[in-house]
Amino acid sequence: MKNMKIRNIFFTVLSLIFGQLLWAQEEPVTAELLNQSNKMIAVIAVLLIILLGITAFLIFMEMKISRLEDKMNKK
Amino acid sequence: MERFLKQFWWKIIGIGLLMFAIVSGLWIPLYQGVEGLSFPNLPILNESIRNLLFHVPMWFSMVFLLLLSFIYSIAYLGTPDRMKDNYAVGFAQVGVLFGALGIFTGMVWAKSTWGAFWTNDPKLNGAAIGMLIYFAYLILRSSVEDEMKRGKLAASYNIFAFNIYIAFIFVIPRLTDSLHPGNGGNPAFSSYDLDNTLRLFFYPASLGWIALSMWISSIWIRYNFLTQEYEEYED
Repeated sequence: MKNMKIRNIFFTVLSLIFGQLLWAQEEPVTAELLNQSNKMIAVIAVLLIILLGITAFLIFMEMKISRLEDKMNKK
Repeated sequence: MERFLKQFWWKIIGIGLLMFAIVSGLWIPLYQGVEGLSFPNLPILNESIRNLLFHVPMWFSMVFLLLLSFIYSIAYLGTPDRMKDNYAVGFAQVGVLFGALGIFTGMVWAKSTWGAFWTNDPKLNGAAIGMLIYFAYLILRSSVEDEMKRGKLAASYNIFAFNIYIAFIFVIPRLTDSLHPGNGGNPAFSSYDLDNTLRLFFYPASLGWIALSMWISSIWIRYNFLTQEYEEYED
């Protein structure tokens, strides 16, 4: 189960890295084309979702650590 | 510092600035001869100029965190304290993470502007060597058992590592030929293409990335400290 989880994380990271490698600026009008077809909105939305996901994770961790710190101080 | 790291206001502002940078960085068009809000439209750079809001601020964050790590290492050598050592190593670890992100975004940018992911540029090679120096710092720490000895050894190494890193990424590239703007006789970004519109988004993006890096560091440092305290409590 743990191995499966690690494998999933590994392949997700790998696909993200190679996804970036596939990106190439062959034509300088890439962003223009994306804008015309409204795909830029999707790109921005995905990036914002990732950022919000990171923020939510950090807030969750912050709360958890604060609780543990309080517990530790009481002990 | 501890109290500041636990406060929430700067984290919220930082995330807000980052959102602003992401939306504006991708939304605003390049200059096409029409008046209005636009980024400079430059040959070679083209659309990749938007990466200025990601790549450079990530390096700023890295240098900022490594500077904090350097300061805490000096403080530790003055008066040894576990928390100072924790700050020094925590900032260095997250600094290395942001350095890796900076290298990765830089490689993507280099591919679209210089035609290769990695070139024989003194700044790129300096950054890679600098990263290796910091990896060695982290390995050195994990190889010493005694806490006091580890702290002093790591702090001394960190002081040298930071100075060497700064020389590698800021001094040496200026003394020789370099593809990077502002190095080896090339004009700096600010002198030819960092116009006022780009500045309007570049500075908030830098602050946003620095705030995010600080937030990650604070959580990481507090987590490490808790783990240490818990292990001691268990013993």
